[in-house]
Amino acid sequence: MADSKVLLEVRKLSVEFSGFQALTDVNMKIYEGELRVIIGPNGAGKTTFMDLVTGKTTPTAGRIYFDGADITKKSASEIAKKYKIGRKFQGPNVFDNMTVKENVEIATEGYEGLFRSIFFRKTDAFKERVNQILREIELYDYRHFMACDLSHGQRQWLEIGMVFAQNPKLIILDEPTAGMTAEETFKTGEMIKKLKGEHTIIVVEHDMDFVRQVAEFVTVFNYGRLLAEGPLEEVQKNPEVIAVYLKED
Amino acid sequence: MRERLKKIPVNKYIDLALFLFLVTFPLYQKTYWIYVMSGIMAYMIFALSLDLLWGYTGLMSMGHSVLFGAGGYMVGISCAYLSEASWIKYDRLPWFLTPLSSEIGAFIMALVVPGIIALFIGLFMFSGKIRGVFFSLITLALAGIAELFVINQSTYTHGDSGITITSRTVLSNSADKRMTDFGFYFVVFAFLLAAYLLCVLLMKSRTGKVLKAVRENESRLQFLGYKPASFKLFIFVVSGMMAGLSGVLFVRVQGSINYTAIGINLATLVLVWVAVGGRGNLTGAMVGTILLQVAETILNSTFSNISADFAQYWKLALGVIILIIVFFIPKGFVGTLVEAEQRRKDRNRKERILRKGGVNGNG
Repeated sequence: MADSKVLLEVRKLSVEFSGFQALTDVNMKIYEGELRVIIGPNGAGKTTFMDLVTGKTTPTAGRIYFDGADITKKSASEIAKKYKIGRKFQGPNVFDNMTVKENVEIATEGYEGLFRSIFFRKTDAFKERVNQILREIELYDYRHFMACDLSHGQRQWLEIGMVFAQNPKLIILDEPTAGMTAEETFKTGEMIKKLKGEHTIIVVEHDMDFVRQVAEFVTVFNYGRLLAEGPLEEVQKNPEVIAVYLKED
Repeated sequence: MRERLKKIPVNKYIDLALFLFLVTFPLYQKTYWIYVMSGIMAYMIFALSLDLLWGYTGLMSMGHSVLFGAGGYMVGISCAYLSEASWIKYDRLPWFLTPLSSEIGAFIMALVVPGIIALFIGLFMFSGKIRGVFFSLITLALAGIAELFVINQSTYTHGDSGITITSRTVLSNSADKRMTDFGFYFVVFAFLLAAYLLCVLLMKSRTGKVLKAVRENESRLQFLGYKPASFKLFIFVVSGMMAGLSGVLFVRVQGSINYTAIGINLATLVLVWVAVGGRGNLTGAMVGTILLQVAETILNSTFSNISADFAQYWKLALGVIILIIVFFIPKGFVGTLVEAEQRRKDRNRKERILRKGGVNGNG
């Protein structure tokens, strides 16, 4: 990996919420084309880390660099639109009373400005792209359903599809398989593996079967600190990691 | 062809029926009802403008009458000035109202001033990230303030007596150019149709979908690269200008304007019309307005006929009816219909998917 380009780098990243130190001095590099899995027990700071990278929270100290630019205090919409980081939230976070197709259309990149959206006309290429994403996430037959009428797993897929539609340089998936059946979890893993190479992906996950299915390189968080980093087999043997996390499995 | 007809949602048929009803209405009705219905159509434009804001974008403005009244008062002040009403004590209009000294200027001001008011309210609210119930409460307070403001500014607004308007064409403010009730009915109708078509086009566009997304999940939208504040500001200004237009038309129909047109009373009424009809499908706003306003007119005259003492209680009866409706069908008349249709279609689709055998769709 050392020869490929660094896409995301965080330096000494810390954040404090009214006295509670959620993250402390995290240093991390994500390389282009990589699929990185972040694991750690509840409250380890994984989601907080995602919040910082996507502009939902601002850090108290440290810097975030993406694709050569400093994005430390940029707004969420700027990070999404200009720097192209797409995020799937923990638990499906979609537009409930809109159809599945509308959800994907809204997410499709390139028309986020007000004036562009007023004069937007659906081209064949746009329609084709939306349909292609709907097929990839296996919701094409459900395209006219309201998002709130889908099953939990389907809603997760819908949100994953929305992130694809953004065509981001970096895809962040926060617990993409939460609440899914074993079969759905496996399918999700295959979807993500298909994307590997084309996109840079960070996945936060609890399900160890899923982690084994997709992961190569793993980062472990504990108590807001980076505990270990390395290939999955190596990390699994790390006694510290076993002590805090893997023993639960 | 039949397939395409099936795809049209039920509320579009109601719209068509409604417009057919409205366009033929004056042909067989007495002048009184033509006059009443003209006013109702102006109110329908107002309800549509609130539906854009509340039904589609989720911004429940409890003071939308401020924008309606601002439009109405522009024409009112212009009319009073041009026809040299007896109560006028000033010689010249203040500099920011000088466009009101021409007839076209007054019409433009009646659209622009509500737009500017909406722009400023919107800038203040949306950049300050005021959301939900706080937006509603602040707009409600604004309606109260506006009411007091026009009463206090009696030099131009004639205080709580209001302004009487003698003319009735879209642009003219002089008394001798007066259209008949019958003629002006169709002027209002044309504006209603245009406003409706504008709303349909806007909501069918990508902007309309983004506005729905603002309603559904504003914070999620930011992570897709949108700036929800600019979309909210845009629809607030469009809605404000539409409300201003409806104010102009209503004042011309009614022939007068006073503080009730800008205050909390009307602001609450329009919320009720939209709630009873159903939010977020345009049809509901129009149907709700027409049902409740016709009911009001009939109840009012019925109660007055029983006895003069009894007359004031028609509002009580209407209130009870509204409570019952909102209790039993919280989505409103049209909202309930649209939802039932959506559910039926969903069921059919589910059956089709199951028949195809499995969830995997490649078609």
